[in-house]
Amino acid sequence: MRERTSLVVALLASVAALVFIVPLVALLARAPWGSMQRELSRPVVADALELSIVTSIMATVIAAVLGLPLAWCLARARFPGRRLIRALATLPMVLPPVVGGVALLLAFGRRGLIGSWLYDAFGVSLPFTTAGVVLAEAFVAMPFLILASEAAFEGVDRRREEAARTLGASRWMTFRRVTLPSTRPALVAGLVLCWARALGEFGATITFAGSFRGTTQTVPLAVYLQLEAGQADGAIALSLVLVALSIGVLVALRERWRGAR
Amino acid sequence: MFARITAALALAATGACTSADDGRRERLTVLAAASLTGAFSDLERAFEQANPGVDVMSGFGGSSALAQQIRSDAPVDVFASADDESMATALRDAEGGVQPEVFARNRLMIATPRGDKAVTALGDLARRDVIVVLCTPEVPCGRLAREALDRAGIVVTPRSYERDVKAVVAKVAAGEADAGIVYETDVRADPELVGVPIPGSEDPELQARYVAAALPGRRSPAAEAFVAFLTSAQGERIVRAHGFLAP
Repeated sequence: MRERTSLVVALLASVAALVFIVPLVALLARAPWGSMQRELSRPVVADALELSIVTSIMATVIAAVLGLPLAWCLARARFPGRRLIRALATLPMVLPPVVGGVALLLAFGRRGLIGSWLYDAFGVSLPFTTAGVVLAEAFVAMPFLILASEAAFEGVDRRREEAARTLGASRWMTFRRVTLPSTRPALVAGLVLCWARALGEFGATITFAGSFRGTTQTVPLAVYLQLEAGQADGAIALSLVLVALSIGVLVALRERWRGAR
Repeated sequence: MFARITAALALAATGACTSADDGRRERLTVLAAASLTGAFSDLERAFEQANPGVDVMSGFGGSSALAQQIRSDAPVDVFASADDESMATALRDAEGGVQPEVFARNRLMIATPRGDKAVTALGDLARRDVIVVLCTPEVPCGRLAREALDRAGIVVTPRSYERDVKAVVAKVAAGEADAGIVYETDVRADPELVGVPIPGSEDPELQARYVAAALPGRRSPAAEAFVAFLTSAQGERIVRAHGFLAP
């Protein structure tokens, strides 16, 4: 028999829901529906959208290529400083993004710790480039993937993996056929969160990569700068596109990541 | 432990309530162009010394962005803008009869990082291998920079458009950019910057013209006094000491 939820809990839950619903409704209500097409066909908007989609996907790919192995090591391997590495890997999640941007500048800027070497040896400078945007986004978004993946890898039934190995499967085959299928929902959830975080990144991007249309001006930057320039309609239209895109992806993947229940 | 946290939060909450109306001291909220940051710390101090009942709080940013905040009913008493357009925007929906006062001018200058010899003249900004950052064209600094470059017939593709002149200063001082177009006062204020003069910057049309006004909606007596202070002899002296030109 299910217990009825207490009134207090229900009330608080309703307020919580409103906190999320009201701003979204306000966005929809205040949107320039009449001139939407005109707003969205401005080159500034198209550039920002294309850049945001490209950079967020690239950042997610990098996060996967680098983050999954790290998550694996954190979950399975024993090595000195494991706790420290785990803490550092999740640091960007709690660090204010602008602070992350400053740290990236000090590390990878032209006079940065690593950046100065990159510049002197290869003439490569990451600030003000699209690559810089990808780096900033990967920096803030990777922890989400690492956290989700580590939990997933840790929760796998080891006996099944061991069984596969004793039957002669290689490590990679075991991973592909046993580990991956059972962790897939969690990994997909981690990837989606990672991508969403990369898409919405603002503070680190504007601090580290700067803002220039087509190269570094992602959608969040474009929205912010349009708002500052008094072009509220353009800012709102762009915001709606991002919201629609995000909702679309979340809905499409909802089935996937709630799959294994 | 839980009790201590609750007590601390309660204390902070009451603190937040009382500081807003400090009994004796009237708070004066000023929004000023980013380039005024240095001069304003001295101006604030001098004004508060002469008017002990007033606590001046200043916020800085690109004049056009500040004007938008004021139009969105930000609780601001005084606006000090680096151009007339932003002042006009801020006053657009306000009651009439407000006369902004000019209190300073500023010349444009190229800023380069100490130790970076890449840029020695305006023309160098057009070179492909030179990393240039400019103010976004909406703010006075950006508009004037564009004007100066157009007049000289130099085409520059900056690597980034920054939201106000101090953001440009930050990128140049950090060595991320080889050059940026800022104001003379910004170069003076930052020891990390070396200035390169811009020919023609003596032309008043290429200079920033700072205007200040007490915003009408708020009816703050201290606001009028502050604007008067900016145009007073003492105010002029302070502003000149930072490198601004007389209005």
